[in-house]
Amino acid sequence: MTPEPQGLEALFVGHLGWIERVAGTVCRRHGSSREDAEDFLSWAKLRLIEDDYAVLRKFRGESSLTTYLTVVIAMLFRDYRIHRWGRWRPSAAARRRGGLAVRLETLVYRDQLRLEQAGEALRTAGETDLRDRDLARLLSELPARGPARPMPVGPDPLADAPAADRADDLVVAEEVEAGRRAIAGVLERLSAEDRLMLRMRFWEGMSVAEIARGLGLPQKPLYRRMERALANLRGLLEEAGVSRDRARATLEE
Amino acid sequence: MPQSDIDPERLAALLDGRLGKTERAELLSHLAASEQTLEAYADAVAAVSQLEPQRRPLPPIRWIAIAAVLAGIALAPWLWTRLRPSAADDPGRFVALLAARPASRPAGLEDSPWGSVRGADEPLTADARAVRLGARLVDLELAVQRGDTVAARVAADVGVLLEGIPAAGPVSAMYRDIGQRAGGAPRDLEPLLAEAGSAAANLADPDLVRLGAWVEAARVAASAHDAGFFGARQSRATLADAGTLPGLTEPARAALGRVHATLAAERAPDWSALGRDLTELLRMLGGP
Repeated sequence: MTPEPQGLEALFVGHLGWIERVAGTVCRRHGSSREDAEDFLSWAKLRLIEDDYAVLRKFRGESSLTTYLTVVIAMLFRDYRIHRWGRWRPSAAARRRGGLAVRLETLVYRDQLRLEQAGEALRTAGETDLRDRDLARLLSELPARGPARPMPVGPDPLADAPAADRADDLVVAEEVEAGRRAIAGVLERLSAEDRLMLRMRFWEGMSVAEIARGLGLPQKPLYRRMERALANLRGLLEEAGVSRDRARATLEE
Repeated sequence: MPQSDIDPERLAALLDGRLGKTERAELLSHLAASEQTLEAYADAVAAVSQLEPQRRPLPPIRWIAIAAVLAGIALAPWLWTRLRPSAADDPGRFVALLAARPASRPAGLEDSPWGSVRGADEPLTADARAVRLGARLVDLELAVQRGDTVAARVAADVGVLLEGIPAAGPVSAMYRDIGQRAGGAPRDLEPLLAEAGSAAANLADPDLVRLGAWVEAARVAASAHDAGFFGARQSRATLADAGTLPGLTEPARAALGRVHATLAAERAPDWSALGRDLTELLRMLGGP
């Protein structure tokens, strides 16, 4: 039975702490600044409250309420991100290197700050003590990215090629694009679960522990399974004429 | 509501493990095909994992500690060192069990039983790689503690072993950093070493990394006639767990059995024979 509006309001207020923590965690994962995180939280709360708490009214009890709210907030963040910054998102390589790499990549490539400006912003916010030289080294380990540009989301997310301003860039962009198409095609030949496992690892930068939790699988056997799925993928990519280096470079982006 | 073609409650039920087999398979297929939904789901999984870590049953020693605290009993510092959660992942923890760290590499243990890790013609299996990784991480820990510049070579070996593991790039970079700082003050390198060790151990099969680390530390202990190492709870537990690992070859099981029998005997072990058996065990476990 759907609770009365007063009951929904109490439910919302009772879970406000959880909502704020989830919003903060998701924002950090995407390299959002403190101001952006606060802006998103206000926006998300409005979405949860609007239409007499429609989000809470639709809850059927098939999961825990906290997990439901977590998924809703993650989906809201995606809407918010596209509205604010288009399709730009942190690279898998940055995610695997941690929060500082994500923040640095965001400031340099999405917000178009110079490295020294980004370094100053990070140090001022107390997010790092590293000098610009160390930050430059970290940045050099990340794939070069195009700037953020709001654009409509198409059906094929792998088609988001980097900006190509020079002839050399065009050649590289074509190779990257060919690599992406080949990988996307080869992935289709794996089982849905294996495909998902690899996408979670390489596209989303998730840890094996997180993948195990997300798929509801025991963690330990997942290491070997990942190994087997990758060996399978490698064989299929070689058949498709994609070199190991090209595959690695594509997966890093 | 968020703009999406998928019901958020179904995703939440997947994350809570409440879907039936068919429903789960359908949803996984959808996730595998939809980058946008997967991105949101990945965020949700990461948030739940961080905010609501899975509760695991505490090992008995923790209950002893908790009971002691409740009873107002002061705990000895050694007990706290065993309660640190990171200790379970760090292969270097076996080095802490050694009674004394040798001032130089003990005679006969200069090289690994497999020779160089570079340029091997035969590709390593994932299991062999995990065992070698564990052993080399112990070598690295010992070299760093000695302030020995050989740590640079050992760190490079670890990097080579990691090259064969997917997504190990960031951890390899940490070992490059360690290698560049080899020979420096151990206390400067220890935090990085512990962090890198835990990360590396989780990239490969953790049980085999742990076994490789234990056997290598045990070789050092045998050469020093260090009975305390073999009597330590962690040592005994690792040896007992090794017998249950799937995939061990018969010769490896036989070598493991000999080590077990030597340590189970009531008389003092023949340290030389034990050292030989351990080396043989390591050679078989880490062979290509």
